[in-house]
Amino acid sequence: MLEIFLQYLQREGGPCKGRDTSLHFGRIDRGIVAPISHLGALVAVLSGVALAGRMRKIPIVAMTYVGDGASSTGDFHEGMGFASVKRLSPVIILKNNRWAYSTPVSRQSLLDDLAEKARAYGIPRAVVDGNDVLAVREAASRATERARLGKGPILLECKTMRMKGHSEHDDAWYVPRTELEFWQRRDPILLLERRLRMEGIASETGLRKIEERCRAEIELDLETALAAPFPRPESCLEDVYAPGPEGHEHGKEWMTSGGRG
Amino acid sequence: MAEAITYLEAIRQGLWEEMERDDRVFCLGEDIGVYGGAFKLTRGFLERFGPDPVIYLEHKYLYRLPRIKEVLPEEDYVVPIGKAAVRRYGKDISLITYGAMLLHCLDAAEILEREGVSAEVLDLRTLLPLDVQAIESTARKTGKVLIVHEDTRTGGIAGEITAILNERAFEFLDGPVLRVTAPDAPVPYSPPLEDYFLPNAARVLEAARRLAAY
Repeated sequence: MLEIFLQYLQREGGPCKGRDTSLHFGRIDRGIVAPISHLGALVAVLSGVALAGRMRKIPIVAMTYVGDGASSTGDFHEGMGFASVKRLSPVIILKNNRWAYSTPVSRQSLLDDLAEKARAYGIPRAVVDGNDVLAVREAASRATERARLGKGPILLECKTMRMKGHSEHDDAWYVPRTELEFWQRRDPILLLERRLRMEGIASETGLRKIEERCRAEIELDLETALAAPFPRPESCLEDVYAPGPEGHEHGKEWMTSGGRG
Repeated sequence: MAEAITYLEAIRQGLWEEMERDDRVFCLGEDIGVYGGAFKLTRGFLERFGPDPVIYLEHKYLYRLPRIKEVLPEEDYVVPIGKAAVRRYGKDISLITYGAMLLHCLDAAEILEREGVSAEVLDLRTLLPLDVQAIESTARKTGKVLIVHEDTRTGGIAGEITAILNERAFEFLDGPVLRVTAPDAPVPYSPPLEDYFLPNAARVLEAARRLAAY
């Protein structure tokens, strides 16, 4: 949690060292490939990661998340084709949250299930209620197990709803209120809590205690992140190029000679 | 009396006028229809011009910058494509630039003036077509050229302009063509890093002084 806050607040110690924006979180040493905004492209990128794993004989599972919008882009389809013919096994989660910025899913596709797109590439597919935490977990586990055995790609569509705007500056005025209200009642946390109570696994007090503990943890990490310093300004030139022969270091040349004039 | 408007509003009005005037002009872009664009630039365009797709290549930083608010002429007018504008006349050194960097060049020129260096500031306005004549003519006039751009260094337009000056004005130059640019690195996001990355008036001034003294 602390690392996420450091990333969002662009502080020293954040995984991207203050170079990239909030959501573009990556830590290759932990197997997290930083995404870019053009999510459709991630299908090919993570297929490439799966390919790298195969070539280097490292047992890894590549998984990526795209949305309904990404599945409408050309990159998504190119990636699906690539993963399929190379017999790679990425797990592709298609988080269908009904809105690609201001474009509803009905303006993007005539399919009831976007997962159907997988058929064009001979890729197996699964559809799951994205707001049912346990169902998602089970489907993801099965998909991951399949990938681990190298049985080819899988497209897993999780149906859900985007409850806020595309980003902070978007108040999502174009989303019908009734649609939001419908999905509000299907909030994944509420549904899970209800189920835990009904099955007698957790009591109301127990659940509130968990919530309090989570809140305290979040508050503490947020405070720590807010108190953290910003990275050194000149660090923005580091980690870009491999060190060249002496006297030809790209960043340094900019700083010492003509860089400033 | 007309009111001063932002860069954003000026683009909006310009697009609107041209689309009114010529039905071959259209906009192409993401979420610019019903949504009206991430910056609300094309809000209302869909109702007036219909569901044509909308392009959009402006400088975000300038959108609502109070400093460049201007009162526009009442009558219809068109800014020529491929024609640079001299924003400040001078005789000792030429600052060639475009976009948001123009403001830094003007600030630097102001300070240079007080130091006894008369700087000419050329705003390219368009890069393709490039106003080669204006570049050549300011270089011939001052003999010293500093190119300033926000783009990264390697492969930036400054390299091309330097080559043009070598080809067309070499005998008139009294010093090396210098450049102030962003470094060859991805644009960082964290505020102190971004400030460091972007060229500013101080860096322009430093290079200009060095060139003036050459």
